[in-house]
Amino acid sequence: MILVLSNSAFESSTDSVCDWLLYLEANFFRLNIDEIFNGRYDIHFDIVNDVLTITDTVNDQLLDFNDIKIVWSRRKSDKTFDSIIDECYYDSISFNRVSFARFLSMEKNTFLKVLLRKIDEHKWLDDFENVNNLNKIQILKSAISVGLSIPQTFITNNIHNVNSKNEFITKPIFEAMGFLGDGGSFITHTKNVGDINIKNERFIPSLFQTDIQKKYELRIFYLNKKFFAMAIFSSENKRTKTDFRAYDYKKPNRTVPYKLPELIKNKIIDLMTMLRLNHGSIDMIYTTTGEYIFLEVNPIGQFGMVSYPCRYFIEREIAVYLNEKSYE
Amino acid sequence: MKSLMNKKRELNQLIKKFNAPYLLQDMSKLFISDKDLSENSHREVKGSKIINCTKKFKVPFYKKISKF
Repeated sequence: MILVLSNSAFESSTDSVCDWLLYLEANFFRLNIDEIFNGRYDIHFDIVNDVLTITDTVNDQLLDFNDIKIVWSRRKSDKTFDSIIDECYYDSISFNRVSFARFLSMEKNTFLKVLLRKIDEHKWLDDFENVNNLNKIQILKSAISVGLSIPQTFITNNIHNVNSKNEFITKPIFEAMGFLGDGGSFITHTKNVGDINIKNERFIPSLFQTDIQKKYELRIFYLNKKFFAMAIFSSENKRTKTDFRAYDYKKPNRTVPYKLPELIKNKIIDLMTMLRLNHGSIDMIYTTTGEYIFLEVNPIGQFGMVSYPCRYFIEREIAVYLNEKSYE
Repeated sequence: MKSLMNKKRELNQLIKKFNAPYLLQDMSKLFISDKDLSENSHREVKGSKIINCTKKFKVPFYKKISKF
């Protein structure tokens, strides 16, 4: 049995992988985290006897945790906190609303942790707690240790420690976030330090990296030592120059399939082995001076953006891999 | 009902009060208009553009792009 952990909506890549699993006639159960709490599933967990049963009342399908051979996790946490706060879009946020959101979110996510930890670590394509514990800085340090080049990177709370502002970028230590504004949104994409007007000399510790002059960016989907790489020609577009995720939909960046050198592939395999990851989306830069610079790995990164333009059929690759693992 | 302008003011107050990370210190540089934010705004379907998606859709949309 393959267990696919996802959400019920905005999961087109998961939907495609499930389509392939159906085509392969694989034995799988899709557990949508958001629907665990809306009554779709009958759940009973006898703590004393350690017996957990989940029944999908829509498909009349029983999930027996003992039958699980491999878990593919796209989503593993409940978004109650976000959804309750989102309802405040047109009104003010009260203390009780935030407290209620935090309480309900913690209750649900603690239950989910109990539920998911019932599945042995080795049965996960990538163990959920290992993924949760990874962070950008730890990954960069690991990249150095396997011989990959990274940008000069530091965290500081004082602007005077950033010598030449135009030569550095800043980005979140955690991950990007969006805030609502008038007629648009404020999104924390990577920005050049010189573009930011700041009055305070001090701020909470922030992440800075050298602004690498790039020929193109690389987005690489990795699955069990197989590589699906795409080059993104983002450097000529003012909007996407610093961060291709600031998409220009009117004039999209050109993207092409890309063949990585064996040396870089081997280093990435070493890195993923060190991080105990079997799959993930890797961001790199190919510089104007011909160097490969590693930026980060996102263990649950989107892959449709690589799969479709490059015709890699990554969804099929994942489905086949999961199916093979479910017979081991 | 709080206006969107108040949301921006509220954010700036929070940034100042809690001395947010460097990236947030100049919010104007992070702004992307609704028109540019939505992929669907520019997608051609049968010769006519899709009408701009609703605000309700855009809230989860920008959360999703953070995972890219």
